[in-house]
Amino acid sequence: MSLAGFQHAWNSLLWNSAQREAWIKEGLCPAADLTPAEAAAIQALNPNHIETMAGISGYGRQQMFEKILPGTVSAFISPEERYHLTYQYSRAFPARQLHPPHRSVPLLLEWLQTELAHNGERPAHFNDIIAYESAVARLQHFGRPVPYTQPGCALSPRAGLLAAGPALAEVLAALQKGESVDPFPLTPRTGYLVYKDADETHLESLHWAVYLALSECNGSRSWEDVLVPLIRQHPELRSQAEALLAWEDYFVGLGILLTPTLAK
Amino acid sequence: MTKLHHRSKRYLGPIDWQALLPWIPAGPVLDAGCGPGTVAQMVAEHGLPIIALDTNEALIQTNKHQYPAKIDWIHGDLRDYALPENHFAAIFCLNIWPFIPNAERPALLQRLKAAVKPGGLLMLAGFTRQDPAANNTFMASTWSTREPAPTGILAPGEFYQSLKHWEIWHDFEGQIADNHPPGPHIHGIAQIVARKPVPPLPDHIVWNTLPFLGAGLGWRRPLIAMLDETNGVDFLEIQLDDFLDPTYDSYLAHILQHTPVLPHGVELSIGSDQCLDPDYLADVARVVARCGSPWWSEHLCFTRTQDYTTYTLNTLPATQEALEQVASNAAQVRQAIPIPLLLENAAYYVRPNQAEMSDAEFLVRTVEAADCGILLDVANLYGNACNLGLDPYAFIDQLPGERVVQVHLAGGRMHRDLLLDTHDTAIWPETWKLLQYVLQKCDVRAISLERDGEFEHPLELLHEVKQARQLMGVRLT
Repeated sequence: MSLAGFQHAWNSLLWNSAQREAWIKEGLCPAADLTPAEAAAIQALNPNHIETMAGISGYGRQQMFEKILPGTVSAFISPEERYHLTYQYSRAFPARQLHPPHRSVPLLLEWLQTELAHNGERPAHFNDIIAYESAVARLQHFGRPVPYTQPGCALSPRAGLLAAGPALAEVLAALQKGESVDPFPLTPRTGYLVYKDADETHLESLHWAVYLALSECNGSRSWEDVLVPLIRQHPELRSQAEALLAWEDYFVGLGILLTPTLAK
Repeated sequence: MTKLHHRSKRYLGPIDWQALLPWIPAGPVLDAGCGPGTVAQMVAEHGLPIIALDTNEALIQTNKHQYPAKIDWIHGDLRDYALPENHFAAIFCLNIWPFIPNAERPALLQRLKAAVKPGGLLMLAGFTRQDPAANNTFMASTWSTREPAPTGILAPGEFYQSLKHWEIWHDFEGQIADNHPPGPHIHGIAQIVARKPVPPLPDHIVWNTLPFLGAGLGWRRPLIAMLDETNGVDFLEIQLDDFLDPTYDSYLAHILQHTPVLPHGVELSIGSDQCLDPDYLADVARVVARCGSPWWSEHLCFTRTQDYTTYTLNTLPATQEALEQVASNAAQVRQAIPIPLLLENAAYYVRPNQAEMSDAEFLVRTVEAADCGILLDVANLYGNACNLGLDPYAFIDQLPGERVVQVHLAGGRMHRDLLLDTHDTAIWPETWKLLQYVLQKCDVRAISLERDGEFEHPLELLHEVKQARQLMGVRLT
């Protein structure tokens, strides 16, 4: 039996319940590229055993989904709904891996947010939590040094930005304790910096101008060059220009803002 | 093809040194010229063994007093310090160069390079001729008496030239603005991070030269409390996929301080009808290098194809094509992870009757073609025998005894008419009998127990480890 043909037939039987049912009830071969002898060999498999295998496979997928889904997100989704979402996600992206989590979680949360937007009412803080957990999942404190070749400053992989309600830290704490998050306000929208060090993840609310400036740090301009047009656009910042400039040293010191160190 | 070399516009600070610690393989680290001990302390806190050396005796005494962490503080001159060849997993040698006379630098650089083990890292930083203070300030601050000052100033590109045959991870050279007393000033700095090349595995591995490790247990979170320094196991076996995120490297490094660790993977999918994921292999290589184990292991199966990821260990058809695919993928693995790989016989419950050879013949011919060892899961063998009507003793008789390096033991559960590999019960008596037969026939170096559920009675697990060790007849720790 060809390896590709076998693997395709095997996966179809285990993963596609409709194909499995058609195979069991109507004898339809799950793969088109098999020889008659190969198709007959597949046909001779014990349906009960295939059902058991499919159950084991589904259980493995469910366990992995539950393992990588952040607890703060799970708090908004019932176990039954998580079960269905696992199935939907694997149907939507059958080749996508859930392991390792630091690569898979951002993609999963992105899908979850879109999927759940059309799928019933969510508590108001749900989108904030998804934004927070997506940002956190992308953070990487540890990493091999990569040559920095940009002319300007850029956010390092250990830092991320998000906008959320003004009491995000309290919302997260409440979720961890299993308490209601309804009392916490969603406005005014606040800019946050999340960053990771060797031991923990930090959350800091930012002055709106600092948040906007960090959002502009894509490696093309220096911190100063990012601030100049921002201050021009918002004259009320003129009196704070020096303080805004000083943030650069703070962020560089924390290792969350990368900047060329070559002297001009 | 010539590899492009990109010089960085940014020099690395303490946070960057900390960030690369997971890429330092197993072995001692040397901080040569440790100064106040910032790097040494960081390395020790991460869980890596470190020797910190400095000529300043008062500083060494202060460091000893201030940092009670496991750091071997040594007062001495690097030039007189014995540097065994291929010994250190990493050497930090930052900014000592003003104190090393120019004439002595090439030889010292050679000694440092030789002292790094294959796959280890060398981190160097020093002041260059671009430094405006190179010819005056350094004179006053240099306490070397072996050569008249000024001394120890790097030539342009000197670090890079010295290490250009290594894998260069970071190369910075230029002037930077600095601001410490007496005020704002410019420094000329060179900084490099390079990895020593690793020789490939020999064409044929001599399996009976691998060390005996004894009897161990699979590391699982619910067992953490039991698996402390007096855990009674000769080694722990980790599921390496749980440690692919470098965030967990420090935890693993701390386990390794008291117990040897064998890495065991599940997501390689060596039987996939496609090339393996190079990013995944790089992640695995890092974890394997951290463990410093004499081998690592995976399953003879496939877990994904181009269209599906399955989360189960799926059987391969016992065909020549599958065998060749595994051998081809194993060659790719060997390039990325140059230590011996063992392949485990997976559990399976059903397979199409299209085999070109028996199960045992498929396993034997595959490991020979791929030059892999065998991790014989005796519980899987027993389960497959029950589920598919095989003769497990005849299976064992066909195995090349010298390649059966490791054995897995676990319990399982009956579900309808199938014995499932659930890893959540005591080991079946039939499995113990099979183990005894395997030990008579094969040159087993390690036995590990796997338990993935029902952790209420952990002492029973330790008793099973003890029983396995007694059958093996060795006690190593």
